[in-house]
Amino acid sequence: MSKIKGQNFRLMMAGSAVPEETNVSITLTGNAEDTSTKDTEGLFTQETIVSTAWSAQVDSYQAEPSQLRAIITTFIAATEVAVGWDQTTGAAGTQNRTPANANFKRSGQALLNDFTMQFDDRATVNVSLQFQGTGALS
Amino acid sequence: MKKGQYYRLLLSTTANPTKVIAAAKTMSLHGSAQTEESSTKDTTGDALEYDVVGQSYDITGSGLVLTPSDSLNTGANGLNDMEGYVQDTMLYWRICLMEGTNNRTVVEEIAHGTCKCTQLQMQGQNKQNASYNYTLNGYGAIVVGTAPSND
Repeated sequence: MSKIKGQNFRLMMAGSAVPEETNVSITLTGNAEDTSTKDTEGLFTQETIVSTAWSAQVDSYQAEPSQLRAIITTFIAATEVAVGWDQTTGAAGTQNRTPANANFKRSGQALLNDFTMQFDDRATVNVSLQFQGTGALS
Repeated sequence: MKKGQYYRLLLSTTANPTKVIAAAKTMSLHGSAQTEESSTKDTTGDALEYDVVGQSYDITGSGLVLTPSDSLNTGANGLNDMEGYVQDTMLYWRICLMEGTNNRTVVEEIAHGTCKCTQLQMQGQNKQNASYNYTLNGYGAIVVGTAPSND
């Protein structure tokens, strides 16, 4: 069994791995409606997916002033950015950032709809970003 | 990798604040966009589309309570200053990378803006340092700082 480690499953922004990434979570949602009717025999519902949506959340230790300003600039712009995910290769010297074009690689457009920059005494700077996908993934 | 203590909030009732929060412990900048599902019958496929229709932000943090005579209160915001901010007064903030003695010298600015202080909560718990938490609600847009020429 060949398993992929979490550090090699990364979120991509504009085709590049999010630097200093520590955690990523991606959610695909199928919005369902119960389409059972009086014609449906029995008590059980019959779910129909009427729309789909996706979102992604990533944590990182981005702490350079230029990185922090870039995130705020992206948020203020309120425009779509290219977001996706992929396996990355762990070859030495690549910082696990080289996309492997895995078969589960996906990309789409998303809005940066939430960010938190945590600056605590005697702690690493932690940046959390949430993206709301807009439109389909490819 | 820069640590959190080197990023500080500067706060004042006048523009271009220079006063940090004395004995600050934590600080967080949080931005949130209100999105609206905007797909229509013209949208091909089942995937939903969204637009940003509103934005807001807040700054939260905490600090230790110093005695009024403590020298670290000099040129900084202490508990008395923070208490005076809990009213409908425009406050000016900056978040900056700091250095030097007591981490009080600005190196470069990350962002600035205006806000109102909506909450100050003080805690005095047995066998712990007295502390307080504050919440600042953003008023208008965040302005991104200008990178130094060598950044």
